[in-house]
Amino acid sequence: MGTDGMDVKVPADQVAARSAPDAGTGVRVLPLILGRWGPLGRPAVARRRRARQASPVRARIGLVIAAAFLALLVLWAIIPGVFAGTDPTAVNPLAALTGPSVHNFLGTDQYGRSIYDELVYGARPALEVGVGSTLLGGAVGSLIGIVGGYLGGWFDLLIMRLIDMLLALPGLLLALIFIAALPRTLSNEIFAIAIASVPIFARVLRGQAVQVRSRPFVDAAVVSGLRRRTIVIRHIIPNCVAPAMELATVYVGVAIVIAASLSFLGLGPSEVVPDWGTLIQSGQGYIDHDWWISVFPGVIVTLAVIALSVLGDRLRGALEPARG
Amino acid sequence: MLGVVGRRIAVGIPVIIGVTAIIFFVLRVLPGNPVDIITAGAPTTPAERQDIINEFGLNKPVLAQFGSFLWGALHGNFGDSFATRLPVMSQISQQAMATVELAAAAMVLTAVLGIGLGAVSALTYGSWIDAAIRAVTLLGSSMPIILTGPLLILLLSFTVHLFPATGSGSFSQLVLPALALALFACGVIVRLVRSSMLEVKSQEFVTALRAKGVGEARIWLRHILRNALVPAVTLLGVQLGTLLSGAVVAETVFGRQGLGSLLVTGIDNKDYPMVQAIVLIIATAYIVLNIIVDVCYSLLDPRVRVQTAA
Repeated sequence: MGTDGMDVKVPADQVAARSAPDAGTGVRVLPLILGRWGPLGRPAVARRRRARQASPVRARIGLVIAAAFLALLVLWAIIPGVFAGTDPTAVNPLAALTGPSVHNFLGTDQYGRSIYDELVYGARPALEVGVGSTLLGGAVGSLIGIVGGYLGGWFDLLIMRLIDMLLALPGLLLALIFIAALPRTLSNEIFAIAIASVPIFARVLRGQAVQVRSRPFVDAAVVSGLRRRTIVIRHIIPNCVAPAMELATVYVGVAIVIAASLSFLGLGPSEVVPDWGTLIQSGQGYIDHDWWISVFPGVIVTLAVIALSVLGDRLRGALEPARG
Repeated sequence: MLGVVGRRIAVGIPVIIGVTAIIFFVLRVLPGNPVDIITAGAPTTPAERQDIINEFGLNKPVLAQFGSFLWGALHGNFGDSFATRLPVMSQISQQAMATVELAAAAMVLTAVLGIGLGAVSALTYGSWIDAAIRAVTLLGSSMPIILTGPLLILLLSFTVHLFPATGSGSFSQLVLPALALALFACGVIVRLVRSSMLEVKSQEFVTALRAKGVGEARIWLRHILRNALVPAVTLLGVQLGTLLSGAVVAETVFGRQGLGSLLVTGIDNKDYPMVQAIVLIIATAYIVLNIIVDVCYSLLDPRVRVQTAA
């Protein structure tokens, strides 16, 4: 990445380049872009590797717990009726604002609805936004990044300048512009959050493509007369799958948080009921006595973020054994 | 030195113009008829509609509108609000200070917590303190502000009556939102400071210093921590973006005034001039602050100056 000396984050890349003799993969840009995803950073990678060798059992337990939790969320999303009552929106004023108990083990909200039921039914829209926007934004961003990184030249330059501009808008703000411009529906929210992810995927995957391009087997493919399209499809893209999958896994968590935050701000899709973010927002007025309304949905979002980052972390190791 | 500053500014200006274009065209091209938004669906005569079109310059070609928006923005004039028909800038300047205060407080807190905890973590490497710091910061950076906020209010405002839950203006009202933002943003800095201190610790020059008889305290503070700070400063600049977009949410969570709550209201009212202005101001602040961070960085690390000059 050291060659594109045109954006505000270049010194960050230089740091990575200096502290890592084998730097050059765009993947190290990931923690710098996502900021908070520190565990994926380069120094942390070395540490993780040590930790993995020291205690493979402990690491595996973490992975199993994370995967189990995510599987539960997926089941909630697909067959909510099995896990909770049939109607999460049924109002029961007599049971309003009761604390966690045998009947409602996560308590009830101000309308007497079971928080647990609302959490179960809220999983579907949350995962739709998380997975949908990641697939959409990830596919577009990765393609742009890979093609730009492989072709180089004016196309790459143009794309990267555009990406820099999009990156100058902190993620949530970029989504907010589109939220402001479009009607509040679930599919528009997915679109807005997908757009916010495009520059991130493009930047990371471009870095990876640039790095893969410089490997000897690509030279060999060029020399043996393969067409550019064939080289990209057969050699470049397969070598970009691991970082793309890792980023995508982590971004699902980011997208879920953005969606919950938008709902909290009252800017979420109006048709989605129940919604984790809306639940947190509505519970805030009751936080002094009836804390469970806000806290439990917040905990679910947090656990999802942690589980996805654990999974993304391990996925990379599994997909790229030479590296992990 | 001047070269570094000049180059960063030369790169920053087209980015800002590009960002302006993105914001302008998304908000001008995608939504419906602005006149309908301004009249908010109220019945109007064609003459009144024509007045509105003239007042907001909507009859000009889109490119000309962009030109005058850009020119106005350069002069601090972002046009009139669709909702109040008053200049957007006057509302923004009333509210901007609250956001600047919050972002600055959060930034300072992030730096102090990030570097402090990172250093303690590295010093106590392998002990339970190290493990506890790592666990807490990982949790902090995984929790969305919409959970951290209510939790802090619950714990520090309602359970232990230390700080007021909501509002803005006084210092005590600044503490909780700044803390919520910092807890979210400092985790990655803690990890970076910790791991770079551990990395620097095992370098040869540290052994040489010990052999020379330099005291442990001096080695850790003057040499190891200082070297580890260089990447941390850059990351702090990157985290600014997290803090700025986090501030939008935090203002709503803590019922503060500021650009964030103004932005949310603007989006709710489809008040596009307001949204344009605020997003542009935040993006510009982010770009400019990153330029400043880059300059600080080259001050801290002479090697960067040599590299970029070459």
